[in-house]
Amino acid sequence: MIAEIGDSLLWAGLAFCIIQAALFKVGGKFAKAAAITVFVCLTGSFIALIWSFVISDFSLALVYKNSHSLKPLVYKISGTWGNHEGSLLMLLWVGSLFNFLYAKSSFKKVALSVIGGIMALLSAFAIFTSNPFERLPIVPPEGLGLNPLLQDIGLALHPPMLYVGYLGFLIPFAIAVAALVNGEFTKSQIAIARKWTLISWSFLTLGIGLGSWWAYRELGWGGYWFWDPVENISLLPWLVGTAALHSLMIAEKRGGLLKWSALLSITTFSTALMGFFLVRSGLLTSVHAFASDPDRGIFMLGILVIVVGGALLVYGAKAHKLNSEIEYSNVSRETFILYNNLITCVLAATILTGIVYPLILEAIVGEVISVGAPFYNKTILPVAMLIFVLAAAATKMNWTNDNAKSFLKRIYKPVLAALFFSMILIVIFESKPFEIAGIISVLVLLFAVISEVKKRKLSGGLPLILSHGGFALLGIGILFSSAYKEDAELLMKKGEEVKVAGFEVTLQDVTEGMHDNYVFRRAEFEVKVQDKVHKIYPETRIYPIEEDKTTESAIFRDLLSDLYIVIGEKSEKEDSYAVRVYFKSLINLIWLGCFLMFCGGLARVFSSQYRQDR
Amino acid sequence: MEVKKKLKPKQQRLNFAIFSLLILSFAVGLILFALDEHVEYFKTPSQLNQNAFEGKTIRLGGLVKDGSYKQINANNHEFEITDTDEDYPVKYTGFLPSLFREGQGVIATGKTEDGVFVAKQILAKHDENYMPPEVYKALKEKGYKK
Repeated sequence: MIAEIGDSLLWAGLAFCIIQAALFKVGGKFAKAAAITVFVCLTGSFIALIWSFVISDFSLALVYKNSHSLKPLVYKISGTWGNHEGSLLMLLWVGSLFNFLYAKSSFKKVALSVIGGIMALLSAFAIFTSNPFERLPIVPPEGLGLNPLLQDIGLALHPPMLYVGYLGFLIPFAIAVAALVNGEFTKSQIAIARKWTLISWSFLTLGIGLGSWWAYRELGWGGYWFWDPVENISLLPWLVGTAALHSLMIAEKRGGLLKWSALLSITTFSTALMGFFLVRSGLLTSVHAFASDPDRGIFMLGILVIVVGGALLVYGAKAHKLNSEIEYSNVSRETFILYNNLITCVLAATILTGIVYPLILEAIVGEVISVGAPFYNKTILPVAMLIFVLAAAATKMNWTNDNAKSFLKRIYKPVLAALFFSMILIVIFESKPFEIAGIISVLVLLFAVISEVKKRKLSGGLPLILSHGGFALLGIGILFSSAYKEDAELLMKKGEEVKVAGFEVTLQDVTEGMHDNYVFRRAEFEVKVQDKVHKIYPETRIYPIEEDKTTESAIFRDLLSDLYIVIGEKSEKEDSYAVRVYFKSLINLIWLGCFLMFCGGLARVFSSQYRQDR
Repeated sequence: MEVKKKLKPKQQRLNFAIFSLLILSFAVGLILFALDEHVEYFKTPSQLNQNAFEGKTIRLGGLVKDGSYKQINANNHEFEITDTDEDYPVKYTGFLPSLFREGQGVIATGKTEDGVFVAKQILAKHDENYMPPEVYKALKEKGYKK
């Protein structure tokens, strides 16, 4: 019964999306009423699905395939979006929420119509190819269970954050298309587009960060980023979105770059949509690959062509109307932000090349290849360094027309500080030239931001400090955790000791037992550092219901660095265990950095200065 | 403060074009270089038996052959990967992934050394119903059915 209500509400949602889309001439109160109705319908539908998971209604194919009555409640709920159909409904719900929030504050006819149209396409996609409320002919007594790897709090939160990010970009997309159609991009429209870009970007940053944090703790090899195609896809809207929010800032504050801002706003949502579909097309080999179905592919491709193609056509036909020539010199914040915009887009294009090149090569030559970490390390990192340096310069530079001499006076201290600290690191760690270049460039940004703290704290520049400081810390975390690490893979008997990066690690004991829905092997490790003793307990778990095995790493946190231990199989002959010990220097800066960027983005949305600007 | 010149839009565009050209050629150069050096080819055991591709990083895909798995100890493993026609011996040091089992589809990444595939990484899907698409395709050509 509940499922039928959910299904009907989904249909009703589709109907009202179409109505909202059709109201482009009328707009106003009617479009707003439609947006509210869509939100109510989809909220009801989404709750109906969550409820079906909570009460373990195995007559639904989706619940049967992705849940089990013995699962903890929180994972029953998060199981709702741990699969293709459920996550699509969640995506729709997030979209309807944003649609509602946007409609509440704006009567823009064309923008609301664009949002309605896209929401209608996505709802139709859900209903006709991926209906979450499909019933099974016979009700099975028990579900198949949720992939144990997904039973983690990091992963319960990761998809919702990502979807908030992806769908939030729909609003600036619609505003940009509307601005092109109307032939003007007013300051208040730009401000709203910027606000939504900031919100989405912040959540996308957090979502990507959570995903990598999960991979780090749960996948048991000490890595936090696979360069897996699906991970890379989430970087595309993030990169283009970063460019868009900076460009929209210039558009709002200086009245320039209107065309460019519109194009970036369109591209950001387009890459998000493309990413969302590419993940579900089954074209990519990935740990994230959802079960695929060829029928969906055609539908997805159709939606993509309509949305992206349509928007680009509008852009091509109308962009010339958004003329906005402002004057600025070569030494100005505008120039540097614009150049960084360009580099960010080039990075996105590089990643896209890495994703689609294997698909194209296979289609044409028939050779199956894969493009992995070495490719991205070689192509992304050198270009990314430039971003840090230009960002550092931009934060210290004045708008419109700066004096080169006085700029040098402002920047030389952070540069010297960065060089000085890098020298120390070179002496201590014997770094490679490439690492040195990287460290200098991230430190320059860090010190440039620090040197601005005093000045900007007073003028409401806290968001800039948080987000750019966070970005610098992220860079430091990435560099240090890969440049200054130590690994040991070995067999250990009980009582045996190994030394890694100055830590004395002893395997004290191994116990085996049963827990709610899994069987575990738990090791007790003693970690000795500077005469202090700590105990940590890595596990391997076997989930009998899902017939799956997970490794639960144990981490000893030494300030921001981690000692990361994993226990593996047992050698019966020698009575020893496979053990991996990793030392990852400053790795926690990666997540701290992401979190600060998230805070910085949201702080800008709510900051008083921003409101004044508007 | 000295008086400095603001650039006319035309000059702005020229500067922007030059910068774009520089950064694009840098990126394209890196991409071409990296695609040449750092791409991994997918091969089946039959293909490896014909040509060992010594020194190149290969992704070897197929099923773990029934009865071939030997645990040297908890950290060292030997087994054979089969495409149902031909087999290829694999050596691996490290942790086996969760769903590593005989009869399961896997992808081993590594290099051949004297007729043995020395794997650096073993990938098995985290789902018993799911097989790496490359492996499934390669096996289908050999007439294998799931």
